[in-house]
Order: sequence, then structure tokens, then C-alpha cells
Amino acid sequence: MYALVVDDSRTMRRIVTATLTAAGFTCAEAGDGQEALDVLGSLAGAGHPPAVATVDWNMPVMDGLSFVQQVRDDPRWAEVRLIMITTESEYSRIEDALRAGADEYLMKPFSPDDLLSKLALLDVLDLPAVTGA
Amino acid sequence: MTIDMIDPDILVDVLGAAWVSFVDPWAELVPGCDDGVATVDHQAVVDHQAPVDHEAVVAEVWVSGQVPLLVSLNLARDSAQLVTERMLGGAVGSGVTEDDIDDAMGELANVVGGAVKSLLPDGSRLSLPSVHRTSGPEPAPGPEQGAVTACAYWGERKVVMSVRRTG
Repeated sequence: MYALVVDDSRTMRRIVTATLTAAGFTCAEAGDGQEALDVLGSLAGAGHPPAVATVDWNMPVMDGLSFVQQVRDDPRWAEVRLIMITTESEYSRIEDALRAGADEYLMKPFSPDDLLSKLALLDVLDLPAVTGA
Repeated sequence: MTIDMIDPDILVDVLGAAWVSFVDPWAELVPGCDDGVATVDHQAVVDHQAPVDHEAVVAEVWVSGQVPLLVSLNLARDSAQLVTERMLGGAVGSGVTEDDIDDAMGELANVVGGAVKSLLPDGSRLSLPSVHRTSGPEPAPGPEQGAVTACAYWGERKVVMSVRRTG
């Protein structure tokens, strides 16, 4: 199963990718929303559309909210689950993200278990199989 | 809303949560701006033989809105390198680039800035992080008009956070 990790911080991409890879995902990365749209197209073209994308909010070029809106406006990506991972914690911002089409919302800082729980909620991860519970 | 309403303990709590999540799940930050040495046992710090220098890495994010603020994070360069190695999942001394350090410190400042922003009126916005270097001893935290300063120790390594009005 493929995942797309979108964050302008290489460090944060590395952290998220490590968790997802350990959970069995094959990860692709992008540093902003525009690059993420390009990578989405490439993955789909190679026959590997991602099951999930984690998306930072504040990024240069194209921010995460615009990316989410563009993905949700394109029926090709209807099956891609979107998790916003961000420091934006105000209720109004969470509402904005969910209204734009994000499926889940995760605040930084987060633990690997926090992220895995969100994946399980979206049915893109069998959590008991991962944790051995 | 005045800057005095930002409790230094909040800054330490937020950075502490980021520390446990991203840097070191087994060692907590110890608050305190004195020069005393914290008692947290941290083998990686003990083993790390980084050269002692006074170059500091300063990561900043700006909050714009009704209460414009600058949120900054200040670590000695060798501490920032060690933190970066941890965040990237490498072994101590595994080697990270200056860009890696800038990126990792910027992300930590981003997390602290986001928490500060959540205390402000709705509609405030957070900038992308900016990171620069300073030479000389790290700034001594103390009372400064229009600023809140908090410190924490990771083992013997000190992290200084500050929030100041910019307008």
C-alpha cells in the first residue's frame, strides 16, 4: 500500500515516513502542495495511487489546505484518504480543513501511535495487526 | 491580550511534548533558567563528545494578527546538531548537514509557535520558520520588556525559548 507524505520540513517527512514504513506502507514524499499533486499523478501513472496522504498545512508554493481542496475537486483522487498534520489547532482551522475535504486531523506534536490510530480510523491500516494487540 | 498572559511553563510544556515525540522519548526536558545542571540521566549526551563552542542556532517563527509576535528557539550549535541527529533517527555522530540542522530546528520552532498562536485571537497566522546563527554566548534570559522567556535543560544542554511583541 502506498502513502504520500507532504511537508516542507524534510525532518518531519522523515519522521512520518519512518512511522508509515514501519507500518508497511511504501512512501513517496513532496515538499509542497504543488509537488504533491505532481507526485500523485506519477504514482497513479505507475499504477500505485496512494491509499493515504499526510499533509502539512503551512508550506511554500501551495499550502496544505489548497492541496486538499484540489485533490477533493478531482474525482481521480476520490479514494485517497487525507490526514492534515499541522500545528494549526484552532477549532475554526480544523473546521476549514475538514470542510475542504480532509478526512482526519492530527496536531503536532504527535506520537507514532497517534498517527497509526488515525490510519486505523480511516480503514487504511489494521491497527491490531501492527501493534500485536 | 498581553504578552504577560503567555505562561513560560506553557512554552516548556509544548517543547517538552515535541521533544518526547520527535527527539527523545526517554528523557524529559527540565524547566529552569538558572545555570544549574539538571539531573536527568541521558547517556547520549554523556557519550557525545561534541566540541564546546558558543555558536548558537536561532529558529524563529512570526505570528501575525491582532497580537504580532516573534517566537524563537535558541540552542548551542552542538546541541542543535545532536537534536537533529535524534530527530532524523540517526546515531549520535552520524553526521547531519547544516541544512538538516536548520530544518529540524525550524520545525521545533514551528511547533512552539503553533502552540503560542493557539493562545491568541482567532485569525492569527504563523509564518514559515527562519533559522540563523549567532556567535558568542547564548543570550542570558532575564526580564525584558514585552518578552517572555523560558528555558529547559535536556541533560546538560540548555534550550532557550522567547516570545516577544513585534508591533
